[in-house]
Amino acid sequence: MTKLLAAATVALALAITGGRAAAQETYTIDPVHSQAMFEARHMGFSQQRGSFAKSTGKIMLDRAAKKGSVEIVIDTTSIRTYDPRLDEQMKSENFFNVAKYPTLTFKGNNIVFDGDRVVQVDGDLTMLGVTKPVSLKVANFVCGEHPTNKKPMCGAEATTTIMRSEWGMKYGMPKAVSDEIKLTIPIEAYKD
Amino acid sequence: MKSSSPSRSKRIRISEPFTAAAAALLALGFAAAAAAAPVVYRIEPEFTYAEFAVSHIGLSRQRGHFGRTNGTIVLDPEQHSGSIDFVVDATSIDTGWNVRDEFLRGEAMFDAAHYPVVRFRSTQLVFDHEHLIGVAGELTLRDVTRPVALKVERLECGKEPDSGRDGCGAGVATSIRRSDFGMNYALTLVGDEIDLSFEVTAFRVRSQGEAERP
Repeated sequence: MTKLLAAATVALALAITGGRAAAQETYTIDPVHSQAMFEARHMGFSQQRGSFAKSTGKIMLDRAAKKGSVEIVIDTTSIRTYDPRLDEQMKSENFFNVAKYPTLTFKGNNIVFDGDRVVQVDGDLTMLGVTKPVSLKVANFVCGEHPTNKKPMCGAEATTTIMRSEWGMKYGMPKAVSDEIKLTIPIEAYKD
Repeated sequence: MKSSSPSRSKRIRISEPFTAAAAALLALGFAAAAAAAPVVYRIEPEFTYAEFAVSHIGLSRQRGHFGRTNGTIVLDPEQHSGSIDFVVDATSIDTGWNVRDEFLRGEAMFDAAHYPVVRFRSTQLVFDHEHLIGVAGELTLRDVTRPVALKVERLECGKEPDSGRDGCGAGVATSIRRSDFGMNYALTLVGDEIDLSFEVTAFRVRSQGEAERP
């Protein structure tokens, strides 16, 4: 009986440590394949797009316990549209005010799973010094290895729609540039 | 049918004010028709966006765009006719990462040194009543010309709030296989199917000559 108990204890201890090691995974976002894109309506007759060339971030994922966290930091100075003059306008105080707020941050602490797949991340978006809750919808969550360098990694596409006025970005509203902004963030992240 | 003619002429004779109103309406109708003759628009490169999206190593969708576009659009919704000539500068490719842009400009992909221009020319515009819903045409990429059908997802016309200029905005999309154009490099890493989407803003020009300026 004591033998059995000892064996059970060892097994339990192994299960706990083994479980922990296997469950908690950390991923680092690949900046060049994770460029956030935004879309706004211009003058009431076209959708205009831009993106941020630089972003960094970490993803903690416990796929067994179905929880985790996400932190994405977007470099607002890396904003790029299709026109250099517009880039300067976007960097100015009227919009992202990059001199004062060089980053835009999303911190997600509630990851929603559908089976093994991440489908949503609830968190807070900090922009222009204002923090508001935002939910990212996650599509095409898939993990595998990079075909050439063979490193394990995951990919997905996160989207959300925000009203920029909630963060105090009100210039050019409502007609010149819409209040409603769609954000799309493709994600590729290497396992640490 | 013969019997209807006298009765119609009789009614017209009876009602003089009706005739005058009909004549006025007819004149207005002609005027409207004249205004609706083919209208020439020139693409405003500053507000025109040519984007592509492609699957990368099966894990994510990567996007890029071309910074320089140009073109002319002629629309005659009443006659269900018109034409589109749209040019993209292949050297202006921009994915937000210089290393990747250089690779895409290179011989393996766009070979922009040899083929600096990607061009779409319409062969037929497709209307649903007076709404442009599609464009059939030919896409030339890397000197290979293939038929391509564009879907017009949205077309809205109006006056630009600040300038009062007459303009139209359109959302246009299509998908192509890059291998159809001889762009076969690294098909296992970068998807063959390329989604193209265009956000086009174009302003009305007074003369064809103005549309053709470089």
